[in-house]
Amino acid sequence: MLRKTFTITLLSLCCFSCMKKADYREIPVTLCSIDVQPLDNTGSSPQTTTSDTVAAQAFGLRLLLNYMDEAGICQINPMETVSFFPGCYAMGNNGKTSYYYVPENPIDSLFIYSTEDFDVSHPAGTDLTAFFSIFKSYSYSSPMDYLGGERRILFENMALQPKREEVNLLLMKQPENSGNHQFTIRIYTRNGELFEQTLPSVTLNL
Amino acid sequence: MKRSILLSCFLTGFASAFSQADYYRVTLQPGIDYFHRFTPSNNGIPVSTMKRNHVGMGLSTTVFFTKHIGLNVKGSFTSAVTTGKDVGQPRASLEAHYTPNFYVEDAINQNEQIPVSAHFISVGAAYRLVKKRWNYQFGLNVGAMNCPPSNLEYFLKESGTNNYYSAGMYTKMEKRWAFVLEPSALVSFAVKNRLAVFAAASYRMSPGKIRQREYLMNMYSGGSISNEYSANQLFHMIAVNVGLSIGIGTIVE
Repeated sequence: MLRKTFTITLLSLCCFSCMKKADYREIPVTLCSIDVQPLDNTGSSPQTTTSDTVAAQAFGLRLLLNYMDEAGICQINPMETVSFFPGCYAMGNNGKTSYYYVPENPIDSLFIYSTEDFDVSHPAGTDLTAFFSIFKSYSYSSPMDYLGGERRILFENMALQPKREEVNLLLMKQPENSGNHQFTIRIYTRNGELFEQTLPSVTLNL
Repeated sequence: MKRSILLSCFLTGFASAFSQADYYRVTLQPGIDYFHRFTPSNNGIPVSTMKRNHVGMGLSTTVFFTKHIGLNVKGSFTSAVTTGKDVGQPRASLEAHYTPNFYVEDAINQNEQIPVSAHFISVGAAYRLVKKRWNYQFGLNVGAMNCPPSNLEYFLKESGTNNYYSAGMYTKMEKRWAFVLEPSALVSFAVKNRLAVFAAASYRMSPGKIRQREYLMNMYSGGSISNEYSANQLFHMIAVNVGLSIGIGTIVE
């Protein structure tokens, strides 16, 4: 009987802890690392690829922005998928409380370079950011229109540490020549931090 | 089932104490109309979007020249009953139309004026037979009906590229009013002198040209493509009516 009561109380506590009163919270986060992967958008949705050849028309870069909150975790925990109370995490965005994450070090500028000439007016090493676009919520945005300025981020999974934002940068202009492009993404924050990653070279098929 | 039989017996017995069906000169039949328009075939047009259920008011009047033969005039005004099927059903034909060049994204909106109404009017010959308190009436009418246009809006992703499109499919009949041929059957039961309840069913066939205009707009470049399709179709509908039947005028001898 005692065991049964204890179990019911524990379950009730767990459930009530998930059911919070409707409110709105802003949580400060800090961009702490980035990860970039090549994308192949040939199919119905963009997929990361390990292939060294991608159709130029369907090429893109997946930019993963990692944010740490007050817990200060910027290292991905391999055990992160294990949770004893998944229901509580699931409440997150669709629960009563709306959480908005505000980066304390917003992105100031973003540059995308290639080791290969893109076209006559864009030789190797020139900024190609204008040729990439982000397609979200059924509209295209330029990378800095989307990522720059004061932002409030809604993370898909708030339980993850660090918090992760996934942005697909789609190549909207074709290079003049097919070639081995080695793309580098460089991000500067307003606090003067630099995040940079270079991808393995990829052949863009025309 | 037992309760229905008992209720029918009670109503029949109750009504028989008062009622008498007769060959009245004129019958007036106001009631509720329901009709279902079946999906037209995809032949010649990309998307089937005009499948609908309609509910509304109907009025039928028959003037009898003899005991059995008369002229029937009827009409109805109905509104579409939007169901999940209306939205879900076009997806399959959209996918069939765009595969393999495009992928249909999740969001499909049916953007049309509410209520979506349809009007029907017809005239024809009626034959009736009265058996005690039961009146059986058969008819063959010709008439016209209109069918509201339909508009689907959706998003497409082009296969093999980073291009997304905002797209739409606007469907309408070429002529506002379409010819209808309608055989029908009606049965009424007299509950009082000059007053009966009726139930009727009919099958409507309507040939007509259906037109579809498709537009695709590249959401990045803003460039647009527009296509038009048309096809002759034979639309099939079933209609069910229930209501009151009122006998007017003299009794035809």
